[in-house]
Parts: sequence; C-alpha cells; structure tokens
Amino acid sequence: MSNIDNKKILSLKYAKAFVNLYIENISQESFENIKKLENFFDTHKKAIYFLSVPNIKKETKSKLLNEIFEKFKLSDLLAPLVKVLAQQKRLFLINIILKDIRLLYKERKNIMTFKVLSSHQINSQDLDIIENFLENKTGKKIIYYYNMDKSLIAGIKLQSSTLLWEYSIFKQCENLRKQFDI
Amino acid sequence: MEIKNTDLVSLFEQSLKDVPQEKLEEIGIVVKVGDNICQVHGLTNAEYNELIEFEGGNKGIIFNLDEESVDVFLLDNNISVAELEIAKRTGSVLKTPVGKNFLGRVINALGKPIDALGEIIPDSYEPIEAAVPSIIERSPVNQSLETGILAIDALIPIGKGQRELIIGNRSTGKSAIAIDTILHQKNQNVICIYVSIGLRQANLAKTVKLLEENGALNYTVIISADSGEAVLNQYLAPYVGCTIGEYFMHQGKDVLIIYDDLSNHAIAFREMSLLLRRAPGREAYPGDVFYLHSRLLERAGKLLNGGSLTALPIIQTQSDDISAYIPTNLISITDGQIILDTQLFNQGIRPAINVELSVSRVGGAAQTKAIKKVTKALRLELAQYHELLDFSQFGTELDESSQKQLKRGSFAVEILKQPQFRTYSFVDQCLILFALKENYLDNLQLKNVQSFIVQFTSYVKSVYPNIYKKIYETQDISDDTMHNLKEIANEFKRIFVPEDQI
Repeated sequence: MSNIDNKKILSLKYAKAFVNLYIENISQESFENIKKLENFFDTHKKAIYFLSVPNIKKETKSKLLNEIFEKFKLSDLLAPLVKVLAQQKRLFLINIILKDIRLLYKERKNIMTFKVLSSHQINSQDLDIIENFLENKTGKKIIYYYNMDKSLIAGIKLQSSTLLWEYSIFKQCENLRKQFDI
Repeated sequence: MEIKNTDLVSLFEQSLKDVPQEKLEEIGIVVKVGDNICQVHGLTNAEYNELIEFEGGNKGIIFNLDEESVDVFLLDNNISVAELEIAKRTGSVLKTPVGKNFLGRVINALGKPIDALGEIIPDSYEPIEAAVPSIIERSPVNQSLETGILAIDALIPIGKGQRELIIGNRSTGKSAIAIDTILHQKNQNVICIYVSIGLRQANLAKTVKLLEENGALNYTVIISADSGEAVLNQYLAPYVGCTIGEYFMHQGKDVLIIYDDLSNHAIAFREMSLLLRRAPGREAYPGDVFYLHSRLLERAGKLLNGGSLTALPIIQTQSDDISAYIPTNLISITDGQIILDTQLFNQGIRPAINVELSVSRVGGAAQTKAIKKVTKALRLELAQYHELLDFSQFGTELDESSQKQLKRGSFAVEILKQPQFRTYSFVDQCLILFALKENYLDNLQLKNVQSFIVQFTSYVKSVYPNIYKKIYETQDISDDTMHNLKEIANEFKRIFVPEDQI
C-alpha cells in the first residue's frame, strides 16, 4: 500500500472520530468555514510542509494552526482535534482530515452541495425554485453556490460532485457537434 | 433581420418553461489521468464494463469499481482528458455496429471504417459482451468446414462451430493457414471475419490486398487493432469481431472467425491489468486471463437454427514451448489444435503441420464419408514412417517391408505439402488420398508426386466430370465409383508424363 493510501486511511479514522463526537457542534456557518479553510490549505501548501517538519516543536505548530483557525472562526470547534494531532505528531494530516470531515458531515446530515451556474442573473425566487427542484430530485438537503457563467450562452447548469442537470444552448451546441462528429 | 440579444434570452426563457423534467445525469470528476487510464471520483451507481462519456469527447470503459472512485480505460488516445473534467454515465455497455454492410470492409475495434470507403450504415448495435448460447440452443458439430488444406481436412478435420487452435513459433505459417482457409470459402456460403490484434499495419495491408485480389474480401469483414492503437482497442477487437460474427450466425449463416493472434490479446490484457494494479500471477498475467479467452471462445458453436460460428484462434509460442501459460489455457479451451513445427518448416514441409501432435477433438463427425473412406490408415502410416525414419538415421540396414513403408511414408508427406494460396476442394482431396491409398504413387519418383496428383485431379475433373460431380453431390465414394476410379487411375498412369519430361 502506498504512503498516500496510508495517509488517507489514517485521516479518515480521525475524521470519523471527530464527526462522531462533535457533529452537533458543526453549524451551517462552520461547515462553510471548513470549506474556506480547505481552500486555504490547498493554496498555501507551505503551511502543510511546515507542519510536517519534525524539528519544529509541536507547540509552535499548534500555535500556528490555532491562529489560522481563529481567522476562520473555527478555533473552538477544532481545538480538540489539533490537540490530539499534536500529541500524536500528525498535524500534517489536517488538510485531508478537514476534507473528510466535510464529506462525512454531508453524508450524515443528508446534505448535497450544488454549483448553480446560469448565463444570466437569476433572482432569489428562481433560486428557491431550483433548490426545491434539487431537493425533490435528490431527496437531500441542498446547499448551493450560485455563479454566473457566460459560456453557457443561455441556460442553466446545476452540478454536484456526482450529479449534473444542464439545459443550455452550450449543451445543445455540444450535442450537435457530437452528432456531426466535428 | 436583426435579432437582439434580449429577444434570444426571452425566447430561451420561454422554451425553458416547457422543459421536460429531465433526469439528473450521474457524473464523476476526473481526478487522475495517465497511461490511457483515468480515475474518476463519483459515478457512485456506475456498473462494471459501463461506457463512460467525457465532456471533451473521449469515451472509456469502467474496469475497476472502488468505494469512492472508478477506473476508466480510455478508448481514444488522441482525445485528451483533463483533470477535473466531467465524466458521465451512459447506462449501457459498449455496443458495436453490426450488419451486412460490413462485408468487404476494414474496421477498427469501435466499428468505424478505416479503409477510406466511406461510412457504413449498420443494421443494429449489439453489446460486445453477450451471453453464450445455452446447451438447448446448440447442435452438435457434425458438418465439415473445409479449409482446402489437405493435411487439415484429412487428418485434423474442422467442423462448423468448432474451435480449433493454430499454434506455432513466429514465421511458421500460422496466418497463412488462416488466410488460405478464408480464400477457400469462396462460393461456399461462409462469411469470414478476420480479427487482427497487435499486428503491424503493413501486414494487414498485405492481407487486405491479397483477399481483394482473390475475390475473398466480398465475404470477409476485417477488424484491426494494430500495435500502435490504444491497448483497450486491442483488448476489444476480438469481442467486436465475435459480435459481428454472432449477428450473421443468428441469421442462420455459417461464419468463420480468425483471431490473429490471441497472444497479443493476452499481452494487452496483462498491460491493462498491471496498470489497474491488479495482482499479477503466473507470467505476470492476471488471475482471470483464462476467463478472458474462455468467454470469447465459448461464443463459437453450431446452433439449432442452422447458423454456426467456427473459431480459429492463433497463438504464438516462444521456442516451441507449448506448455507456457497462454498456450496451455487455449489448448484446454479449444476443441483441438493444429501445431506448426519450425523444424518441418525449415525442412521445406509446408504447411509445417506436426500431424502427430495436432488433434481435432470433433474428429470424424466433421468429415465427409468420402474423405473418411480414403484416409483411414493415413495417420497410422505417417506415425510409423516417422518412427522408422528416426530408426533409419542410425545407419541400420532395413528389411524390404520397412523400406517399402518408408517410401510410402515419404509419399504421404509429399502429398501433404501444399503451396500457399492453392487449396483443394474435398473431391480433389479424395482423389489425391485415393491415389495414395490404392498405391498408384508407388512407382513414381518422389519429385514427380506433386505433378502426378495435380494432373490426376484435373484429369478426372475434365475427362470424367460425371464421376467428379457424383462424389461432390453424394459426398461419398460408392463401390461402383471406387471401381471406376481405379480404372481411371490405371488409364491416367499410362499417359502420365512428369513435368520435367514435357
């Protein structure tokens, strides 16, 4: 088994334990903040590298993490996790654990996240209709992130990590292109 | 007329109101791409072997299902697949176009024409992995499929619906036997399918030209997955060929399919399995390599509705080692094997069939009565000849009967020699074997045997067409016909002039 696989298995164990204990403490806002934190770690790879350097003291690493979490208003929620990880010298797993926590939380709370893209601005009423539509289709609670996407030409696209609903001119053009094998 | 952007939008909004409640498509996101294989996160309900479509236009087949992701092998290595690209389920396995319009055409493993003769309009699309016909649907193999090669038709007869392996080292004439068999099917109402797996394009071009020149392309479909193509295509090609063959078989037609060769197929599958990180077994092949070929060859057979699919898989051995993994697998799957011998090939005995080791498990059931009558003792005679030949090499003095046996054996070997692209009809074969059986060759010089048999068959055909026709129609040699043939042979022997004396 590769090193990456080992990391994944280990991270999942920590995430499961955390979610089992603190699921009720995770609010909608903290869920959003965990996502932002994930993005932060994805764009600041050096932070993870810093956490994996063995000759930096665990207190220093914990302090750094707590400061970052403070910025995302997550220090209270994640403090116990940081403590355990620091004790077991596995702070460098934090970014993978956060991803797993979010996925497990979504699974347990029956939540599905969708990207809603439209060629033109959609008002809040229409967004509610879309939310209802998705809830009916999936049977899950929907959290959506709305953006405009001119490349659709005209139309709408609803996309999660496993589902897609698209009705746009762009898609119809693509279908025509495939039909004519261009 | 000028159309304003706002008009378009309102028009579109109008049409959106009437949008049918389309289903949510199941998708996945490409997380890893490399070696023509990609890992897709999502696709939670996808099935094994399901066809997947990528946003960029490529397609692939699922080969591994994991908890969070699936591994997809790509069909086209010219269309790139990017990380984070969307992959959609199609809900169906890979289907290949089939139909009568494929006759005379050269296609790739996806059923697309590669002979620059334009599009092919298929009759239908069929899944490439189909259930094998059940026992109730099958009929026993009891009808001969002539190859036109005397050594095979006389000693290792192939029946319609049989699976006969052609096995030998490189350059021993394996493909030549297959091509000769295709050429011989002209006017025999047999549809031929030639599947080329991992061969060079130049070789295939030569084969296509040869079939075309001999008028054999009209009843042949060629499926090519050359060595430069994606490994998945090499894996798929035999299944696609088999599906096209089955289409004709289910219409009650006789089909001959040649897999040239399944060693390359197994190698392609090994490559795929290793890339998928499946556990390697013997010779690094995966555990299910037997199933790979058994499920393909089990689709051959003769049906009660009259259709048949005869399979001639080809296997290449290394240094005459038929006990290697893939050859032994194929030997156990098929209903017999034609073993080609490098030594015989180098001695000038062509086709270089080792008649002692070759076998057809269907045997006499697939032979006409006429052939059966004249070949009864041939195999035994040849076996005794080879034994005596080994013995005589010690410089031992042989008695008269042994010398006679040696001479007869050498004649038997001589008549089994056959140049490429010259095939014999079963009546010709009967006449040749008759001449040997009734000792009409005994007083000839060995070098004149070939010209004798050629002239004798053509003499009977042109001077006594009624006898020739009678054997052809009854597929038997009656006592009367036997008597007539003896008279004709005596008559011909008197007028026979060897070629070098003409």
